[in-house]
Amino acid sequence: MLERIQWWLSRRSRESSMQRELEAHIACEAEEQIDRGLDPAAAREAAIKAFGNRAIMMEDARRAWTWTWLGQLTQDLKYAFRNLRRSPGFTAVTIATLALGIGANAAIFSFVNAVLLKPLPYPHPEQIVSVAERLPEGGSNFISTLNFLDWERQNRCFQFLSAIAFDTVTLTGPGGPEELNVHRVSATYFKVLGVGATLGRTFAESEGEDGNNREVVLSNRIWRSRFGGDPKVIGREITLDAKNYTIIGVLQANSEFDRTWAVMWLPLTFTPATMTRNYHWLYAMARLAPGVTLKQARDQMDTIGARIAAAYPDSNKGWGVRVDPYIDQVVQPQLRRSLWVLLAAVGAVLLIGCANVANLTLARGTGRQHEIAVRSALGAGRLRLIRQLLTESIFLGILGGAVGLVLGDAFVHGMKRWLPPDILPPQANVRMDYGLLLLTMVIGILTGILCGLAPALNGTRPDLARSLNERGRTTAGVRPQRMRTILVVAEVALSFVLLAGASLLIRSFNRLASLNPGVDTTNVLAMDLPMPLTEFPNSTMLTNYLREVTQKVKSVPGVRDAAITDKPPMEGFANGAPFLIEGRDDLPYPQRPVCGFKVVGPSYFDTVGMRLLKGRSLDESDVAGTVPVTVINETMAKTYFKGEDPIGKRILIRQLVFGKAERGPDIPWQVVGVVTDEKVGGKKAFGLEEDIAVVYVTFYQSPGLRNSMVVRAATNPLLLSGSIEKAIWKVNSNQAVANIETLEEIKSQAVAPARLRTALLAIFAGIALLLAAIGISGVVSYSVAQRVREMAIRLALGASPGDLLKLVIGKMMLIVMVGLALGGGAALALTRVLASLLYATSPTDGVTWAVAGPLLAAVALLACYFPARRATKVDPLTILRFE
Amino acid sequence: MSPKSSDRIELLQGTLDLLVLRSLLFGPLHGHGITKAIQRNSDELLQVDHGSLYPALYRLEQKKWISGKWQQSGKDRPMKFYRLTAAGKKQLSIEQNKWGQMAKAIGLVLTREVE
Repeated sequence: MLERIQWWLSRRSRESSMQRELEAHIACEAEEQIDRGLDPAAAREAAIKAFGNRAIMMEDARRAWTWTWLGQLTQDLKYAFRNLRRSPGFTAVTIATLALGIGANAAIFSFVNAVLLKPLPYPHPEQIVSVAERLPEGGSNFISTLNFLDWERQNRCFQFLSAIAFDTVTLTGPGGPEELNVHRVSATYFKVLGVGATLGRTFAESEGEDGNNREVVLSNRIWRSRFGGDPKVIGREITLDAKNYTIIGVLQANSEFDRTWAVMWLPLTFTPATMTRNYHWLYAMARLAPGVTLKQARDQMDTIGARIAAAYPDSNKGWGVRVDPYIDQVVQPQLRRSLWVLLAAVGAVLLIGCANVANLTLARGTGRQHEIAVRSALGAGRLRLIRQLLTESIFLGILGGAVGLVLGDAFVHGMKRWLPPDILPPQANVRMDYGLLLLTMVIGILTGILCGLAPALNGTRPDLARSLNERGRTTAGVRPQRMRTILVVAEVALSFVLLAGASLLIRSFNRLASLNPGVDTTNVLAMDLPMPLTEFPNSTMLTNYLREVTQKVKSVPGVRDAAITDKPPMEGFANGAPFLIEGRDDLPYPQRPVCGFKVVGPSYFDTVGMRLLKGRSLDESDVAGTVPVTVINETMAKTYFKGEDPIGKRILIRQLVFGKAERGPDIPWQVVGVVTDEKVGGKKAFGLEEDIAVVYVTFYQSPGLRNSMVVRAATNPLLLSGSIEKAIWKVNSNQAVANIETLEEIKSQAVAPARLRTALLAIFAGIALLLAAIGISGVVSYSVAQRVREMAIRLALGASPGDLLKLVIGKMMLIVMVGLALGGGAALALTRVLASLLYATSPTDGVTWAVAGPLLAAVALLACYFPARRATKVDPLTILRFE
Repeated sequence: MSPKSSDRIELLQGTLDLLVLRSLLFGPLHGHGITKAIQRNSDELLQVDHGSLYPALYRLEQKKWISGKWQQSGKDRPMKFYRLTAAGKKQLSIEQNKWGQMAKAIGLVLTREVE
């Protein structure tokens, strides 16, 4: 081996030795000829002739040496490198094209893989289902305690069934009060998922029962951040909502539990207050018993649901049970669709990229026919030539892939940082997919090979005389020409599809973003004020506290107004309310229409800038013990009081009893005013679009523990957050202040998923457009170079430069138009899949199409114009004299 | 005068190595010399193709049957002289044996009367 390496290393001296040896041989031969009487020059010529083809001979000689392939490879690589360096434009464009296509594909696929293709990170994930109440119209709803307990007792189809409640608790102790998101779960919760603790244990089966419920399981994240990653934390007591809990376990690091909303898991207990069928507050998930199919579970739960509905018509009439694969809940349809659309888009970008590389390689290959003919005439073997051309293509593919790797990695990292937190399910562990990276690289290389092969095969066909004579100037060969035309058509068509899709999303997003949320979002801050029941044994203490906090905050310099609300604008409802209008048909409770029920401080409308349309606003005098009053919104007035004056009418809504989940008797809320709509929404893609009927009441008349505060400031409200907190702590130093956000931020979060997919698709469409332009301009400049002689003749015969321009551009634009027409048809069919991602925009939106088409045509025209102009600058005399 | 090229015989595949080794048995020669030696010793009947000579030389050199060395030759021109090595001598006798058997075998086949 060592010897071989030495042999290999000495190849250069051996090469020169061979040269000298052959030279000497010829010299000897020549001397003989001179001896025979020839003059030296003729003798040398005769000697060379007698010797034969020296290049072939040397090549054969080299083959006798071992490791020639390595020698040839370095030779080919060196040659490829030299060649590519000689045409930096081609090289840069090709590598950039491949890198973009490869990088973007690998990155987007990493997301698709993590979110859509990888199964949930649990054993037998297909057995996990979500279970929910089914509304009469089919939608799903939270579950009431008693219904859940019946399901739990009666079902035989689930191995484990677990209820989950979302809650927030205040952790007190060193480090100040902190509000934490928690899941309260049945003891079976971790068994449903099939995961255990990495430290300590999870809940034991008996812990769901009353009295033994002071245990807590920590996520790895909070264990590290709040408890210093101390392994001795198991058994330690912490104070949550003024109660002592024992830490029993810590969950896996970097698992979905580190990415999910909750940071702690507490046992779920059912207090007597929640023992009802009317208070819907639980999620549930279950693991199917071995051998039970989804269909069997659905049938069984349908039977149980029907039985409950028959037994308790007052609360359950028309309601049932929904059992769905858990994955459907984890990956929402909108996200699923967005990801597939994006994957298709990057796929198209890669295709366009490949078409471009193909185009460029083809053009270059045809341009090199002369060179290849020369090489072949000098004795290069056909295989050797093909190999050399392929080396160049593969070299390009690998370079493109390497840059693509860097690009894709950066893209994944950037996206992960840039993504709004809730957009991906916590189970999705996004990692660069190197397998796919390799695959896309192979695609890139294959493109290079295929496109390199055509001219290589063509060029090495031994029609040497013709190639040498024509010097590759006249007819470029019909086949590559037609192939390039097809490639341009494909590129234009694909670009148009992407462009149309992106324009639709942009238009939809603009509409969504410019949606009037019904509130004045400038300089308004929202924050949550979590308060445990233990601190407020009765409602009077609570309402006094809320009033005092509001007043303290209002007195902070720079604050214009402040108000309590149970939910900040655009963040949904704390409560929905089945209602009746007094004096109309008495419907059974489960059939009542539902409106939003918002509990606010009297100053709420002023603080968020909602206008009073009729009657009076809520007032500080609307307190407990006086007539219960409500201000309704415009939609409520329009929907339920058509042609009537709602003022003075009474709306019956069951009382929210302070500290209890069970609702009280109907309260007749007297309508005193009508306000403009606010978009209540929720953090959903289009949560902002709906107009929902809402009734507003004061917290004095319907006190509850779920409270937030909105504060309008004179200037940037975030600057005031510190002094607002201090004002609140002056009233109660244990009050946690959480989720401080401006309304602008809340609004932008509500449209974040739409913004993300719009931005990404727009970027991809932009890349596609750029690539198509490069492709078109490449083809035009190539065909101009090929037809220089023809142009010269035309000019000589009296054609004006304008005529030539028209000739070149006209032909290319015809091709572009064919691409546009094809692309238009494809886009019309394909953009339909976008329909569910569009807000107030039809997939056949006229404006979009009217913009996208001409835009692409204009870009194509520019891409034609610059290279075509070169045709007009031809100097006929120079060109024709050259003949 | 050398015979016309049509009178010349193309070398049989694989015999060039043998001829080269044999030509070197009487002393070092350079490439040109080897060609001349083979032509001369075959009464100008065998023509050595340069295209195969040098690859064959390099092959033999790599197998260490011959070794090449640059030396001054008569007219101030350095030439690469090849010398038969010990291994090469051994190989030559093996090849010669083989060839002898082969020639004999072929001769037998070609001269046997039809039975």
